Amino acid sequence: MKDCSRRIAKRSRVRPAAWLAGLLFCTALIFAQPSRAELFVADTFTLDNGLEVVVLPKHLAPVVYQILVYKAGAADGAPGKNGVAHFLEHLMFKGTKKVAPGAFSREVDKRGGDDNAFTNQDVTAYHQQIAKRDLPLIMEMEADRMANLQLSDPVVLPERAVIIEERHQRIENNPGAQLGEMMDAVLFLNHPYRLPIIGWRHEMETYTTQDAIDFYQKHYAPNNAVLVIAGDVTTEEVKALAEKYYGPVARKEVPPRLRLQEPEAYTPRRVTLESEFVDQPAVSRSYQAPSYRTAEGNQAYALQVLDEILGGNNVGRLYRSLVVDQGLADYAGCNYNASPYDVGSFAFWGAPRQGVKVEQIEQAIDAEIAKLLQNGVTDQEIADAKRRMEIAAVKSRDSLSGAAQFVATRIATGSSLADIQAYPDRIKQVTAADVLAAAKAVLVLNHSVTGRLLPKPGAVPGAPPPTPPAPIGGGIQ
Amino acid sequence: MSAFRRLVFFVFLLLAPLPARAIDIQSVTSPGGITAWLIEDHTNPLISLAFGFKGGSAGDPEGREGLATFISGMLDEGAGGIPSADFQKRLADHGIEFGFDASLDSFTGSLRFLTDDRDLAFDLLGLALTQPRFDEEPVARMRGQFISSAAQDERDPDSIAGRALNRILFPGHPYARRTAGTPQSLAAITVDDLRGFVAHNFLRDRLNVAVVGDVTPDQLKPLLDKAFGALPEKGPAVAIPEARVDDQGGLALIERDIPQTILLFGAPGIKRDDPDFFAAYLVNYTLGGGGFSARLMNEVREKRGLAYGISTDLATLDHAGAIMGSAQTVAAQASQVIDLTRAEWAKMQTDGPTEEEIAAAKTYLLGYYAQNFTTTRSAAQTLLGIQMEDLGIDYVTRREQEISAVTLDQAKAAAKRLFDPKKMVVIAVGRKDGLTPTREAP
Repeated sequence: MKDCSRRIAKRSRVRPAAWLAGLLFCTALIFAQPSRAELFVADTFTLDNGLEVVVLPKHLAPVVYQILVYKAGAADGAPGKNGVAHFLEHLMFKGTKKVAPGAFSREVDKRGGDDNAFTNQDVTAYHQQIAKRDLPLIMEMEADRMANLQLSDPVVLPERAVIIEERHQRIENNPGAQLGEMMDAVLFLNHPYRLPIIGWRHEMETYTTQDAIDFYQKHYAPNNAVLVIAGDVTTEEVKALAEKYYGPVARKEVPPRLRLQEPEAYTPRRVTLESEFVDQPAVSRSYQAPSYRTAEGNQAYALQVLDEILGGNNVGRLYRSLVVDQGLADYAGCNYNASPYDVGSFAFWGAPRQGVKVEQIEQAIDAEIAKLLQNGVTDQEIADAKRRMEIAAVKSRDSLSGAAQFVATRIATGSSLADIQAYPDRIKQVTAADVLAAAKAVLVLNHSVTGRLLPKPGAVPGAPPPTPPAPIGGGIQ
Repeated sequence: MSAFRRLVFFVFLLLAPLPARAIDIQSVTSPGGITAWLIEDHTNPLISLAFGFKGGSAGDPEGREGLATFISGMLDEGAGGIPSADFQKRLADHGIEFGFDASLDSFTGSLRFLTDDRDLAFDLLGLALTQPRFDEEPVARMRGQFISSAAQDERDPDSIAGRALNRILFPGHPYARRTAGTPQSLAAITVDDLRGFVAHNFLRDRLNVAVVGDVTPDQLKPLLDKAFGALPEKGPAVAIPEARVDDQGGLALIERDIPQTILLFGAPGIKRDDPDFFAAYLVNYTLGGGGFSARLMNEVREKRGLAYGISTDLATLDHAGAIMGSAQTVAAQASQVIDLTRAEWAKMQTDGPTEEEIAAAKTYLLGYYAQNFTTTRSAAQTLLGIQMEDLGIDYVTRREQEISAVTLDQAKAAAKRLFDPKKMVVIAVGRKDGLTPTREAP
């Protein structure tokens, strides 16, 4: 469930272990975490046409960030058309009566700004970062394309070829992503989360201009969107601009978000993918889990504390046990994603050291889960995890775009600003008993899929020489 | 996802530059003689520290490729009297981010922590830089991770392409080697090698430091001595020769059975200290560096839907300048994308950019810089980048004048000098469909 976006993110450095997590699992926002008192300095208001607006002031540099999130994503597509949400995201740059095709990005670039967009199962988001003086321009252009998009085959059809190339680049050239797609397809038995955000290729080839227009007309409206403005601004400034530019856009009737729901599952699922482009095997297990919106009581918060105890960077149980103490794995970790509208996930993964079988990693993960379900977590672990999460929340305020994306997507998937701001308090209330109860409720094998990524046996053209024997310098296998 | 991710060259300084009249950079020198650039920002109780030593993986000894990278994974694995597990628990319990990175020409570190933890963070950094333990268990564990990653890179088509481009562009030069090492070279690295790297590289005369956040100059001074005061003053540096960048052009194919062909472009470029640097930067922006404002993106993606992305970048290394680009397209279209790219290079070389294009590139470059100062972390990294390139503390204002002063004629001259399609080599990793290689893949 990795987001798809209009242009590739700038280069990022990845530690040796990070590729698996990135490929197979939902990208959690780095700071799905809490703080002291309130999470952010924030203000909110709603326009008469129903557009919810949040302001996150931050004045380190004379720069602003705008993100507009529509409450519609791939899972809201018609049958056979689930990738149209992402296709439309690309087409939103193809112009209106006032703004020529491609001119949106050129105007932003010319002023030293950045713009991009992304789509996931639940939302479609458009965002820009730019000098403060240009805030009126980006608000005017964003509001304009909320209602006045103009599409025709000559601009739409080349873009359909682009999204097919995007699919090749993200999925078809990438065994980890292929496995992720297969895992989603069997983890969800009925819910549209089983379908890829970008779409199946054979269906993408059939998308038409009218498909995109239909999705646009059905879902894009001020009362079905959330606007967040962050940076060197005040609420008064934002309010005046929002009323001026977004205010005139008419409210419309939008359909309720009714997706097919999951049935009872009678068996765990398991998929394996072998590829000649894989050298290091890996295993991952993903359980369906409650999301912020669907969790009962403080279950979502208990699961986040659990995630920190098991998966905390270099100190979590999984890393300490599998990587350090048992010396079985090069890396091991977990991630709880509470953001989806309907169903979240709790995922585990690991990759064996050279000479260790992937089966041993899966067994070691299972042993950690069994130990957890048997003995729970200690009060000391709870206290340590809460403190770390509190610090992470303070640090999350450093980012302009990160904080804004987090707030906008949370609100667009059913949370209120008050929910988000209460996060520190909610975490504080979590007890060891809450964590154990949540773990027992979620870590049920029938609600899971296990995926293995394996090297393909046999020679590769131009294959490297065999890897050397176990590293010198000892070790504790 | 970017094919460039593994290309090891970083050009953060280029993506960056800025106006930031509001930004006040102070030079702070500690009692022990360590100088840091500081931007005070008391909005949040947070401090970001970025530092770097000149000298990176290009100096790794023959047969020990990956040494600098290996070190980057070892500095949070125990130091002084604190073994690995305790060291990492202290970092985690205080939420101290503690990361290191080896590039070809430098070794850099980046820390971020709460104001309350500043003494602890600087103490731990001082220990890590002067007394790393290199205990058996963490050395074996990190070695295993780096070897697995290097072995994976040997199969990964993006990495294969990146390595081939480095080898073809910098023949016989340390830049052609694998920054992160090979499984064999990583296996050969000893604890003495690790200690030797620390002793020969972590020296005060090649250190730069930048700090941004909730700290005053007087508070910072003693902290600088905690972290860096005990480092040796100087030592012999590894001599890296100037690289002769390949200018033979042509096409090299590495066959792999993947649906989408990975294309990398390379040619001789320009170094950061070249007087034509900004002219070249503006031209590259116009041709391939400017995203949806660039000609290549317009021709290849917007008009024809041939690729999800295409871009070119200036790689400005200490001992070489190169132009590098990338695109991915299904095998059947690979030769069309190569032809279009060559045609755009040729057109740029012959006619140069237009007045309007250069104006748009300038306003982008001028306007973009402020974005580097929106977080304490990116601001610290930007200040460090300026220092590592020896651009001076007045760079932030000087840069604006230098960019504004570039004329259309200078830009055209830079285009003529740099964008010669005959000097552009293409590395293709994928199926052979319709491609006619003209030279061996290295």
